[in-house]
Amino acid sequence: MAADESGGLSLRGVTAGYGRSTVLHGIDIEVRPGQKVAILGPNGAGKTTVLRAVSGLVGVRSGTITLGGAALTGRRPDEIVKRGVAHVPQGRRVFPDFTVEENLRAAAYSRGGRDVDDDVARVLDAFPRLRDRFGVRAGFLSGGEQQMLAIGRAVVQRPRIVLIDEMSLGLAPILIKELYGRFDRLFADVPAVIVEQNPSVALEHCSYVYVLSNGEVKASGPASEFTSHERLMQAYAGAAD
Amino acid sequence: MSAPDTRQEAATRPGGRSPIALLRRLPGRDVLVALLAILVVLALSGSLTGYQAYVVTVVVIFTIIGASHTLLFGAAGQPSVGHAALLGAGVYAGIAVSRHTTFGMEGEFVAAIVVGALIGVVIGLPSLRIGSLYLAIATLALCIVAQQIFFEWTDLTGGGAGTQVSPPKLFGAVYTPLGLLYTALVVMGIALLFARNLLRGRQGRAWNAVRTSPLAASSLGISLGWQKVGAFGVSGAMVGCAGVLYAHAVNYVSPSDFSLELSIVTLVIAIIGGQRYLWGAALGAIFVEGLPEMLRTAGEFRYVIYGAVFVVVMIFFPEGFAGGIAALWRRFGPRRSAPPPGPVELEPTATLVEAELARSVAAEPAPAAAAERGGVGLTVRDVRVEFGGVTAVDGVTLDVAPGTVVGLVGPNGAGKTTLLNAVSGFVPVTGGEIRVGEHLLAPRRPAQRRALGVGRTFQNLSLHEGMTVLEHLLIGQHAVAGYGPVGQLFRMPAYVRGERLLRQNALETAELLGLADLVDERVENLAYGVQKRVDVARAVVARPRLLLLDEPAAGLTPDEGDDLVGRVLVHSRHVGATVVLVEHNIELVMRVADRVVALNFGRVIADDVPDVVRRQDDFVEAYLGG
Amino acid sequence: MRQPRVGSPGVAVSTLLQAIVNGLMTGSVYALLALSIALIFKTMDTVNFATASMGAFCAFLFFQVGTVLGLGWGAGLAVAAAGAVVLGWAVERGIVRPLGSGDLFRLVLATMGLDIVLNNATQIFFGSGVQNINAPLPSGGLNVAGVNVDLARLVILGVAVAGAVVLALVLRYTNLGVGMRAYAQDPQAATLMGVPARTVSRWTWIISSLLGLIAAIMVASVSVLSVGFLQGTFISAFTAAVLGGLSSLPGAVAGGFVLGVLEALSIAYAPRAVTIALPVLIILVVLMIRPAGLFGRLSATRA
Repeated sequence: MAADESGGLSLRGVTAGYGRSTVLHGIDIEVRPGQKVAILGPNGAGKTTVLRAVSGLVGVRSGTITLGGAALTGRRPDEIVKRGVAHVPQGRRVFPDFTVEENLRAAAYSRGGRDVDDDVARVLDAFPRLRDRFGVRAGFLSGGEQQMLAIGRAVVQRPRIVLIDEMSLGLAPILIKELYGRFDRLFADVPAVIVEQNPSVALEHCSYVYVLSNGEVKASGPASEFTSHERLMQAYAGAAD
Repeated sequence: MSAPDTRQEAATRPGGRSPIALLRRLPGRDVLVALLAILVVLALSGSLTGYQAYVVTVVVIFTIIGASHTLLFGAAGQPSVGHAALLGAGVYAGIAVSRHTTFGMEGEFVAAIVVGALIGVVIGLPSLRIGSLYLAIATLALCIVAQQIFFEWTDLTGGGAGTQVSPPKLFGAVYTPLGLLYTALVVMGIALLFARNLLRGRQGRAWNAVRTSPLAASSLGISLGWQKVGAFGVSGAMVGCAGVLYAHAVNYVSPSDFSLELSIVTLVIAIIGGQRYLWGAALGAIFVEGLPEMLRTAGEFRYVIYGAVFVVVMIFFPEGFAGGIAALWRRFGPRRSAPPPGPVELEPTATLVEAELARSVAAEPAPAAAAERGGVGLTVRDVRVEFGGVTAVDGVTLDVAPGTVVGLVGPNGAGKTTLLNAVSGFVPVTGGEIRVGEHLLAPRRPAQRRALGVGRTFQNLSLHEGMTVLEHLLIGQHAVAGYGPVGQLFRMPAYVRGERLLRQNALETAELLGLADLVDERVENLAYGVQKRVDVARAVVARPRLLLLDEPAAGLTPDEGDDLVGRVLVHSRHVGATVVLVEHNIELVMRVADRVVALNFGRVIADDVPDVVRRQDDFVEAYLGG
Repeated sequence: MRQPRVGSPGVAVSTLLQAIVNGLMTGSVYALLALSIALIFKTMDTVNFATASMGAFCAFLFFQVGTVLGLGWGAGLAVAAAGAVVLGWAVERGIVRPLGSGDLFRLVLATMGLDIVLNNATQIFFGSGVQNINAPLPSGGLNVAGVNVDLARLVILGVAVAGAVVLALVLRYTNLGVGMRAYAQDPQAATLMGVPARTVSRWTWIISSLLGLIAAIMVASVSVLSVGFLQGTFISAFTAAVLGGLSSLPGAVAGGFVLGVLEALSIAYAPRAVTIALPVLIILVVLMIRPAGLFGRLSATRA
């Protein structure tokens, strides 16, 4: 087995969709160990569906998804989580009736809910605001706090790879900056797939970029190639034809 | 009797009018089949024993009650567990007439229909406030209350001891059990005919629209409250009618008959028979009231078998017997063997748009549109929208001049859709005011805003599942149909004329949006891009004077998006409608809009002609995150 | 029949207290069965109309093994509990899972069909006679300040409270319980935390079935055992669950006690028709004023 497959995520020719409609048409994406990869593209391009296909929430019709060389395709979402995939969904999806603490503990379900104290401490160190709101029900948190909590849950999951969907959605620029900073530190060695609507933020924190449109990869390359607005707009527009 | 849809009529285009086609069309084949079924029962009735005649009569009565659920639950989506109360109301209204007047069943029917409809409306009132599951519980509660009232009203009902029902008379003649069966068959025939007439056309479409997408329905001027309560009233009238037959069939009624269990049984009849099909009610009634009789040979196991069949049907035929049969018919029956089309390739070229437009311009404008031609302006003054402490729209002021196209852009979460929802009336405004023309929107419900000419599309495609493209285009014209429920019930000329015009207009719009070949397809079978077109077509078919487009190009390929927006805008400019276009594809907006308003964090950050906005710093920053 | 309402103040107070005490005892049974209903609704979004017949079937097992076969209470309980577990598992595997999580009403109707099957199966296996299970409960009563407290019913109250407490502890402190609560709030997010949907569904039905069994034995031990004997209690328990907001477990318990007391009060003070109609009238009022129930909250994640 090739060295780069030891901890990496690989999608080969993945076709997936809901009901009768097909959203992804033969997608190829590689995430090397430790690498942060951004998926950019217009609304409805299929970015979220890529993440959902990896975590098993949407069925893969053809193609394969492997993590560290082992197939994820065809497995149930809970099994995929157990294999080390942490998916922070769009809109945070924290458990509104659970407190911050309960939310974090629930994230350790796969290992029987045991030894979470160290992880919780790490989360609280990274996000001191959550410490203040530790016993508060998550439904009462602000959008930014909920996003911190959602990232915190991923920390508790001790993943081999993190998928995060629209971290910046509806947040103020200063908060976005802070969240990405913490995210980078919390998952310094963990590979991540970052889906973003806000390209410049994503480019700053990722080393490699895929541009999706209409369910296909329209452009990809090192992030440095995309830093000028023109090149990106071109990629978006290139997505156009 | 057929599904509450208009599939067969839809298939008939103006033009191909051979005498055979006319013959096939006039009484409706479904009516002929139903008549045939009734005649078969009539022919066989001579050989029935008294008890068998009684069982058949009960099946007929419960077919009527089941069909009342087809309207109420199958079409309008309102579950009622209070139908025993309606049946009791019909029974006792009939008994009161026979006791205190000289009328026979003819008078009893009139009284039972009126009382049933009124009680139906009362039971339906909670639907104005609560959703389906809680509505079921509320009707359940009302059912128990009604039963107690029956128990206590001893003068009429005889209380716990019950009361004898006088022998059935119709216009002076006393009836035998067989005579009652004949009466029941006739009453069922009339009730189902009326139910079918209501389901086909504006009324049935409105109910189906309320069930499948209340949000879209109210944006099209369909009042949710009236439709729901109205469906309860019609349903109550049908059950009241059945009540008179029931009283005479069983001869002796006690308040304990009108139990919660009976209510549930009637709903089960509709659902297991297939609540979307009127003839399903007959199958359900045969299963529920007839099968236990047929299973008598199975001895004590018959109810176990019966219950098990019930569970199995629910698992394997989610749409009931009729739904299962219809699915098999679609698959294996003659003429319907064509597989559903794969993703349809649309030919999106500007010339095509122009060509089709030229055709539609040449065509006569629909009369409804002629009455209210031209766009109206939209004025938004310092509008705020907050939910749960989050300010989604934070003091937005903007003006949209009549007949112009204004693009509304901004990053996700900027408040664009919320602003549209505020104009449509789906979210309450916490400050400021919105006017369409001179009319202040604040006091109007969403359905009333359609009357001002406000139409819209939906980002998340609020389509009506199970309905065809043509039906969507007909639902879109609800507010301008030109006939009412009574005209529809009796198929009066206004209905026939109105439907023809609606259909014509629908087909024209279908053509304009490139949907002409797909009018008979159910929307859930269509590709996303085509569904998007249907959503837009439904909004424009009745020619709104202010059209709100919520991300029409999202999820489409750029070509498809250009094409769709292009077609709509050409159409809008032609009829002079004002357009507000929310769209992520900035290039598209810049190309088509007269003016661009950019939002970020619920505020207006730019408002000018496209070329100026494009160069504005904070706009670029908001978009690209600078 | 109206009870005299005028009397000495002392009599009036003790009548009131007596009604409340009686109501709390009846209410405890409602509360337990309401928990069974609410647990299913909370996690599975459906109402199990076979709750009563499932519990009754297992109560008959208990009677058959313990009394008819003479193997004693312990063996009866063990077999009945095993029966409840198997029944809950079988219903989940055989009906709930094949039906999928699409349409609430289809599942509701399927449970109605199951109700018919189970009631008639009960009759075929155990006969249509009326049985007395002769529970080893203390007889007699205490007289506290002029109020009669029936000891047998007091034990039942204790069992109900214990049952609710055990359920609360399981849900709060076991990993499975946390998973179930997470799943109830947001099935998809729970799945992403590694909570298997099947496990949650399976255990929800098993636990609910066990709660139904306990309630059935409780009712049978102060009345009689016969086919369909739990139906009336089920309607009241369902009412209690609605009162509590259907998806709130503390609400279900509170709803059970509130309903029990209301029923007892109306028996003591109101005409018979009102006694029967009062609870449903209360439901109507509650639904119109607070559609989510007295204790329910309209959660953003639920339609």
